[in-house]
Amino acid sequence: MNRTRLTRAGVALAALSALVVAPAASAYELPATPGTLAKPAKKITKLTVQKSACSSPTANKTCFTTIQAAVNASKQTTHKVEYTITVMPGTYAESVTVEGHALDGLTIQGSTSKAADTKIDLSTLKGDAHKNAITVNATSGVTIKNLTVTHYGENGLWFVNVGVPADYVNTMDGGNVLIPNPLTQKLSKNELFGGKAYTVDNVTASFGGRYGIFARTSVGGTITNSEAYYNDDSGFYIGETPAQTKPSRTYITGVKSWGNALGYSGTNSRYVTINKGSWFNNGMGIVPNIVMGEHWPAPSFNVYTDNDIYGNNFNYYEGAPFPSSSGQFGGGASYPVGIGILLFGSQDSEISKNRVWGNKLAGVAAINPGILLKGSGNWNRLCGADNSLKTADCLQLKDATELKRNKIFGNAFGRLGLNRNGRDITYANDGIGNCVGGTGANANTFGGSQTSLYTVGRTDKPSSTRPNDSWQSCDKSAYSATLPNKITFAYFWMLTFAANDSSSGSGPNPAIGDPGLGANDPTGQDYVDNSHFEGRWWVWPGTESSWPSQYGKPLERCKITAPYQGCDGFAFGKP
Amino acid sequence: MKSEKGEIKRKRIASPSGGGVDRREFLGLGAGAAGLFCSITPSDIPNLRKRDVAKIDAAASGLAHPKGLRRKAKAAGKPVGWDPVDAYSTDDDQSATEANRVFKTAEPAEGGQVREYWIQATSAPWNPVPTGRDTWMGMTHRMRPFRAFVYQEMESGFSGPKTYDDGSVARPQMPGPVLEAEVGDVLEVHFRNADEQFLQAVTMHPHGVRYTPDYDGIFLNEFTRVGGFVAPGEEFTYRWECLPSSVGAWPYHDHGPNHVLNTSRGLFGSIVIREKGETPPDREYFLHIHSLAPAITRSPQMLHSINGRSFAGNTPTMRSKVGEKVAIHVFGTNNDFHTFHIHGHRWLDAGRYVDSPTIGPSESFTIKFQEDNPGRWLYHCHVASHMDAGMAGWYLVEA
Repeated sequence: MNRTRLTRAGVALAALSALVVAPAASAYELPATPGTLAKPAKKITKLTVQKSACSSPTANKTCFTTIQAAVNASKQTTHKVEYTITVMPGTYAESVTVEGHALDGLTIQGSTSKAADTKIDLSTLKGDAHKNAITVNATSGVTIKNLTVTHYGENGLWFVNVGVPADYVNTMDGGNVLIPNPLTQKLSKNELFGGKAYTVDNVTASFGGRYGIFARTSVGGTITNSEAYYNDDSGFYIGETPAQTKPSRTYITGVKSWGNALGYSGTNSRYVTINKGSWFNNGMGIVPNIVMGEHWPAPSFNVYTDNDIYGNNFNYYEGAPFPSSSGQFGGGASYPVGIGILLFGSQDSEISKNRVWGNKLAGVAAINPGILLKGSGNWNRLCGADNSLKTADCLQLKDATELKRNKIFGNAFGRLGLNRNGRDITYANDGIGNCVGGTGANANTFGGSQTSLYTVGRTDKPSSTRPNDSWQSCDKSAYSATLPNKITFAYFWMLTFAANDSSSGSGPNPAIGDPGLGANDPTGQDYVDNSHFEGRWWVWPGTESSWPSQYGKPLERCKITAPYQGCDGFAFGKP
Repeated sequence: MKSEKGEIKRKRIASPSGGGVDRREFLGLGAGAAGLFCSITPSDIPNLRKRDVAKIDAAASGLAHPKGLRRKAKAAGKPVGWDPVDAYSTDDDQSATEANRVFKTAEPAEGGQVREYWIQATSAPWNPVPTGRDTWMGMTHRMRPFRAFVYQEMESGFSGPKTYDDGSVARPQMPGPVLEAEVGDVLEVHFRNADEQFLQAVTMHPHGVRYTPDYDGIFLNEFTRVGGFVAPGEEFTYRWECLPSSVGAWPYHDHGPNHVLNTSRGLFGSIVIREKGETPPDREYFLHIHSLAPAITRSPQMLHSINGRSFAGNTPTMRSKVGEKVAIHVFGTNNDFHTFHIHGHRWLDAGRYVDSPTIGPSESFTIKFQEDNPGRWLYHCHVASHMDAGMAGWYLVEA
């Protein structure tokens, strides 16, 4: 397996079994000096980047023609200066790297408030320079705003090791470091800069081989008013958040994510709040997920609230306009298509007050991955290849695979029946202490006549080993988070679920336009919706400018004509 | 830097600036500033000068993380002589799990539930006399807003200010949100230090409920436990148990390294624990009696306040109707002793009727009566210098 491969949201078994190739174990210690509270910067120094030649003198230079040169000039010898790099409008072909605490507090911003004015476009670059538009490694307090990043082979913005102690995670090679117990390892002290690890505002990330805006092994980020589209894996991605006793929360607020394989992927993500965003026309909308080969499973303590999540039916298996770093769309993982929010493993998380409609398979689906993950990641090391070890580490690892204590309440499904989900909520009732709905503001409202709460047929469920986690209410008077902590078994119903609908040769997915949901469709009705892709896709090898004009304007995007009115279509039409 | 394979290896990077200010320096700064402090933070708030406040704040924001001090002490062989209980930690000890922890996390009793709150500490502009008028004496009091440090209730995930059932939106305010629970419940408070102005560690320390040392929310220098130092940008989840002995009204407040200044700036709030299944009264008021010193408000005048406001018409105007069951929870929230008097009323207190009981620092009591006396009534502290400097308000009873 490719060692430089990044983390990814493995949803299908095929992906899970192929994920981990671990290098030699490297134990690492917590830092001896936890540092001090951040202090405000004393002074702001302003630098400028422009396309045209600079007239400033070579000494005390403040004008540069590449962003990287300005970044290199921003290194501090003390902590008393904060640099701001203002990039003038234009298209810059360079891969920018910001690395180390000497650059703490750096701001890189487009000079205008229109993100499209100032672009970093990697389409003409090759090799490493084509991979990431902006990488921020182990630098705290970086702000990136008013920029577009596009045509990158891997990631648009990539934050890694941000806000965590030096050497806490000593590799940028995603997720393959083995630690004694990947669950109990805790972050002792973060290195936030003025309380913020990183800030992204008004950034557009498009046409990417992996992720649009991506933070891994980082804490305390804020991503606002940004947009990601046409990324081969996900538009936004928070992965491998260190477990923290005093967490620094990450916010993704008011963003727009569409036309990606996944709108959001959160492999082993923790303490993430996603709110006020629009997640539409992706393969799936919001997908927190567990991967055992990466740090800190399971996705925990996340809140998804007050979002619009609709029409996530983009069947990129039929072709897509974005490049693929892995050679297979969707990063090579056989994700199903057509789900608004999928919890593939999650604990102590909340899905509340969202508006969810027009997702072909399901509005919200919850899977208890359980023993599905057996053998993957650290399983064999901690539990034994024959699953015979019963050490505390093993039990804890298994516990992480349980779908526990999640709450799904106060959501509006199906646009009052005008634009239904295949099912509103599907769940096999095989997790522990999850709750759905309630009274008053806690009630979910459902969309019309189709099955609202759909218990996936689990005739194989070992009911003798665990109580049914039936649809208990999230009302505070009825709901208690005190629940038995049992390790039992679960099965991957999604494969069965999707396989019955399969009509595509390239993945277990129903194609858009299929006559309903096959044998699993409880309504027997076809899916009727105009808010998603109606056409099929094919691989488009060219750039935006080479898009054949007879198919419409290449960047004409989904327009939301009014709240709850869906989209009026994509200009990338049928060929 | 890049290796031959094109992988990027991370360099060793030193942590920024190192050291910080230790306890002795902090104390020294405080003592040097005003010469009258025997604790880490000043207690003589009324006589504090503005420049003292600035110095103390600077010292507090540069304070080293207590875990560092603790680790340093351990490395130096210091733990000798410590009480063994200090060794049990949840955040120092990497092998600590719920199963082997000495101090267990509270779970609700049979039939109880977890009551979840999301609360942030933040700074906010605050005017103690927003109307500019004292409607009791008809005087004018012009005040400019100052920078308060207060609690604010949030939606889950800190996704925005809490919207209540009546459509109103929680503001950062004095006092902080009321935490409500019944006997047998556990209060689960997700607390975030969202402040970007003072840059100091703060906490939430409760009265009345049961908690283990990890959930105490107090800074104890090298003995500080996990919930006793929540730095800017950090979040901590407290879990407090509501026992039968917890019934009543209690304050919560900051108990971090700069607690005296920061509670004086407004980091305080109320807890009410009811009997299981108890019906709340028809009218319920929470009154924190405290002062706003010139060093805090940057105004020449010493203000005595109720819930962060001074002078009738600015302080809470309580209302009720004859026949209603009324509960007034009163909290002493500063360094002074007060008496709490409501005109036209008296109530049973420990076997005798009173109308002006005394209340001291962090003391709290609940006044309960069934309303029988309509009219416009004044309530106030009967310490004359407090009453005259704003510690009074209206209680309006309809027939």
